[in-house]
Parts: sequence; C-alpha cells; structure tokens
Amino acid sequence: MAQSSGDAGLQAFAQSVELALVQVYTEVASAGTITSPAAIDATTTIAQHHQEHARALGDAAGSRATNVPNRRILTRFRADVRKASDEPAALVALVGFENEAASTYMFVLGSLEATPALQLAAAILPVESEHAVVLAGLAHMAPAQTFPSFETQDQAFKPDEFPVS
Amino acid sequence: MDGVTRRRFLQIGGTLSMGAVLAACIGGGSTKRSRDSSGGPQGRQSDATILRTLSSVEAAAVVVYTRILEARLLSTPDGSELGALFRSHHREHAELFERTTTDLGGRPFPDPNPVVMQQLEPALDALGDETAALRLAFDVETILADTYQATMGTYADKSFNVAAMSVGGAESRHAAALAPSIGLAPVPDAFEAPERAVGAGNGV
Repeated sequence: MAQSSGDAGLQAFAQSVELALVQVYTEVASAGTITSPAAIDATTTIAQHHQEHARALGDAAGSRATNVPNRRILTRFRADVRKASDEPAALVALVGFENEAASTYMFVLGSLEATPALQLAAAILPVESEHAVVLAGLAHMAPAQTFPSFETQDQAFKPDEFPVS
Repeated sequence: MDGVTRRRFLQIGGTLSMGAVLAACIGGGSTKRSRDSSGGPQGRQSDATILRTLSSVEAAAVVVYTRILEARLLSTPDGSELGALFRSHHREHAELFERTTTDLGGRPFPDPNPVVMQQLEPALDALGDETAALRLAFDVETILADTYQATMGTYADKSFNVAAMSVGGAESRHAAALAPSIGLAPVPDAFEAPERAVGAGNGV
C-alpha cells in the first residue's frame, strides 16, 4: 500500500480518486443509462476534466503516483451506479460522486503544505463543485441539495479508509 | 454557523487557532487544542487584511443581489428564489469573515468593497433587464470565486486555506448555475484560474 502522507502522497491519493471517477463515467457511458444529448455532452466533458485532473496530479505527485483508480472508491461508485436504472437516477449518483470529490479536496487542502500544491487543489475543487451543479440541474434536483452555503469535508474520501491501491 | 456554536468553539481554549475555529464551524475541522498556528501578531494582521478584503467583496455581492431583487429583474420564481438564496449565502460569508477578523484582533470591514463597487457601478446603473442582471450576478460570483482561490498559500494560518475554499467552492457553484442563462458554459475548463481576483487589501 502506498503511503499518502506529504504533499506528493496526498496528490497521488487525489489522482487515484480522479481515476476512479474517470472509470465510473466510462462505465456509465457504456451502460447506456444516460441517453439525453445534454446529459451525454455533460458527462463526456466532465469525464475529460477528471482525466485532466488525474494527469496534473500525477505529474505533481511524481514517483508517488500510481496511475491507477482507487480500488475501494471505484467499488463504492460501481455499487451506487448499479442501483441507478434510469438517467435521472444515474445523474443523482454522479452528483453524489462530484460532491464527494469536492469534499475530498477540502480535506486535502487541510494537509497540503506547499503553495503550488495548495493552488492545484484549489484549481480543481471548484470545478468538481461546478460539475455537481450541472448534473444536479439535469437531474432537476432542488436548490437546497445543490447549493450549500459552505463546502465541507463531511463527504470526503480519506486515504486511511480508501488507500491508494 | 450560529452564535452559540461559534462561542462553543471559542470556549475550547485561547490557544486554539482561529483557523481551526473557522474550519470547525464549516464542518469537518478539528476542534482539538493545538499550538497557536496564527503566525504571531504579524501573521494575524496579515490574515486580518485578507479577511477584511473577503468580507468586503461579499458585502458587494449582497448589494448587487439586493439591487437585482428589488428591481424585480429575475422574471421566474425559480430565478428569484436562487437570487435570494445566493444573497443569503453572501451575507453568511460576510458575517463569518467579519467575526473572524475581530477574533484576529482586526477591525472588521462590513462595507461593500469600494474598488469593486466602482467597477460594478456602471453595470448597476444600467440594469434594465434580466440578461443584464444575470450577467452582473455572474460577474460578481466569478470575482468572488477567483478572489478566494487567489488567497491560497498566502495565509499565515494555513487552516484558513480550507476555510477560504469552503466559501470559494460555494461561489463557483453560484457562477455555474448562472452561466447558462447568459450563454456561457457552466464549467468552461478543467481548472479554475483566479484571473479576476481582488487583491488582498485592495479597497479596504
């Protein structure tokens, strides 16, 4: 098991979260649950963003990067997606993943030390939040579920519970 | 965060860092005693200057939404509801940073940032339809989101990084909700860049 301490370790952990997201979006697309053009466009773009995040985090983590999806998180994601039998349900599941990703960056920000590492995490966190808004809009979720007054760490994935594979 | 909750955190101990207080208030933060991580008097003064800037840009956003809502420029009930919700968030954010400025020994800045208001005044004066109102609201949300992001790594108390992005992320959500209504992509890029940030101390 790779260690997730230090900036590089945290970035490697964040990369594993991003790669789990890339994988689950790929699987959702293959499953054919998402069918409307707007939702297909949105999820395709969002998956590309996660791929870009993973690449940047991998570069930042250097030799600590494993370049593989976080196994436990992917297992969790797959379990949630399996329960979604139609597009709205799949979108709601994806909203949850994006909120968890944003929350994870909140957690990571609390431990990062170097300014470039903080800046990278802070450049990604709002994008995950925006993804959640886009998907929630497509799923017609209520504003109260979409717009918290503060982002929190409450839904964060943590390396001790979801270690980098 | 209500007053009672905040007082409870403050009562934990005088050496508890203000950043930990703030982080605890927004959820997930530690409430354990810790060494003073505020960076001493100079660090607290520097952080107070940043927080005064943050409360001032939040106050500017409150003014913008108030003008939009009072002019009834948001035509749908959903639009008005969102405008009112976002304004309430900005009030909450402003109050938090004002209180934390006081906690750091600084003088809170409750007024709208004059530099930002000077920039916004032409658009505020020309507000005539819903599109102009939505464009202005989007601009304000973007300025705020960028301002929070630009503070990363500048705090003497590192826990403020978390607190700042807890608000910055919320502002980005607002901007993403408004963007499509003025023909913009809600998530244009994979990474946010703080291009429209208000510099710390600017206008306060």
